[in-house]
Amino acid sequence: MRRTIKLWAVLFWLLVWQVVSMMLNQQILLVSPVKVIIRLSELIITKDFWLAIVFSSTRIIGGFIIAVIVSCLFAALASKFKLIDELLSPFMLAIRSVPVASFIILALIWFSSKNLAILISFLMVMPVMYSNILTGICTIDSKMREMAKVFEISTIKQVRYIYVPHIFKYFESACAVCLGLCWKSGVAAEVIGMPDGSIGECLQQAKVYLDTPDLFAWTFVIVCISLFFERLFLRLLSKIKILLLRMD
Amino acid sequence: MQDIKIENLYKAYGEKQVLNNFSAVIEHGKISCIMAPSGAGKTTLLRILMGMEKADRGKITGLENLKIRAVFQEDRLCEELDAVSNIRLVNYKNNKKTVQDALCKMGLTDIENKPVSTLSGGMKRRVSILRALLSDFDVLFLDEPLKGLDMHTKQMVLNEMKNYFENKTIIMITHEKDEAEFFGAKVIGIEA
Repeated sequence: MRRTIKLWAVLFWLLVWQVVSMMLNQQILLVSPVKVIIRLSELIITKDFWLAIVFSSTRIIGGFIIAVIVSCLFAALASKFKLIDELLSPFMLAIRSVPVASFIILALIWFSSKNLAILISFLMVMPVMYSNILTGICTIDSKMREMAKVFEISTIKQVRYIYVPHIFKYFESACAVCLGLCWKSGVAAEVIGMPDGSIGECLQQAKVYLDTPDLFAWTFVIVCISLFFERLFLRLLSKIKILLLRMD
Repeated sequence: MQDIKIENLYKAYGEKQVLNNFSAVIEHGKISCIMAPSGAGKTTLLRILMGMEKADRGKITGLENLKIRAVFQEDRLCEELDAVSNIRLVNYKNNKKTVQDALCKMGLTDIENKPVSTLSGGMKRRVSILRALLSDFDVLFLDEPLKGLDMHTKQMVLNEMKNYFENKTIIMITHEKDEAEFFGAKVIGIEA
């Protein structure tokens, strides 16, 4: 069942937040939503705000796209050759199990922090994406393969009309999970690595100066961008699916 | 075209002997019905004839270089495609109009642009049958094609099928004697 967020529920929690903030009366501990909105309105008119968004978005989404391409390739190969599946399994398990902070620190030792978010976003997305796509390929009904063989359906048509629609379900659910994941991990990497002009750097500055309104404003921005990309990407996927299934 | 000759066919799954020295001749351009009790190996025989399984022993001749098509026991349709696309997927030479007309004759109207996943079991069955009928075939295998259809629909589909069966080699598995009689088919039995 698809759960939708109701406006009244959002308003209720905003009200709770405002009341608690007023009761505490300590802006450093819990800033009020009104203050956050005021701070946000100050930030969005600055050039640096937009530059930080572009800087982080390009890197995080870049890492996500590279992960999607590599995962598709690896999953296709692993489904065809058992040896590749066996070879990649421990590698994927290791990436899944190792804490993201360890990767960030290691990456900072090896490279500069400028493109850190690309690597971290890639590493967090790839195992989930690979596993989902591989499951999708492996669960294609053998009876449908038999049908395709009996009716001598060309490989291209098999891929387009039988394989892809089936794998798409797995791919879509992986995308929905990974788009949130890549933003969380990407920004975490930027907070630790502090590349100049990134969202992570802004968050780190907020921490250093105990600037809670800034922290909340940037967090709100990250959530919005993450949701925006998620919706955009999923909508794009559904359009691609419609185009793929179209038969003239 | 020569007849299909099945000679001394053996097939076992582990300890269970499914086909035991089975032989038959299927005449080219005629309708043959395979009738036998459940578990006698009808579907196994069909799968071997279609090349989807290998017999343990025996020989089959007369199927070489022929276009074999089938109506499977299950619908095996692309669930996200509509009925017309499912049919055209296996034979692109059929234009939309031809397919739509054929669907109408099968009692399938107002299903345009609906993915087959939204159709009822009986509707899917008819789409699956029509897909095979409209495909370009030399030999058509049908594994209990009318299973699950009500009497009225079954009669309509039987009449429609007859139009496509003329001078074609048809091999159909059925439990219903009246279906074999309707087509004037040669009945081939399998000993259980």
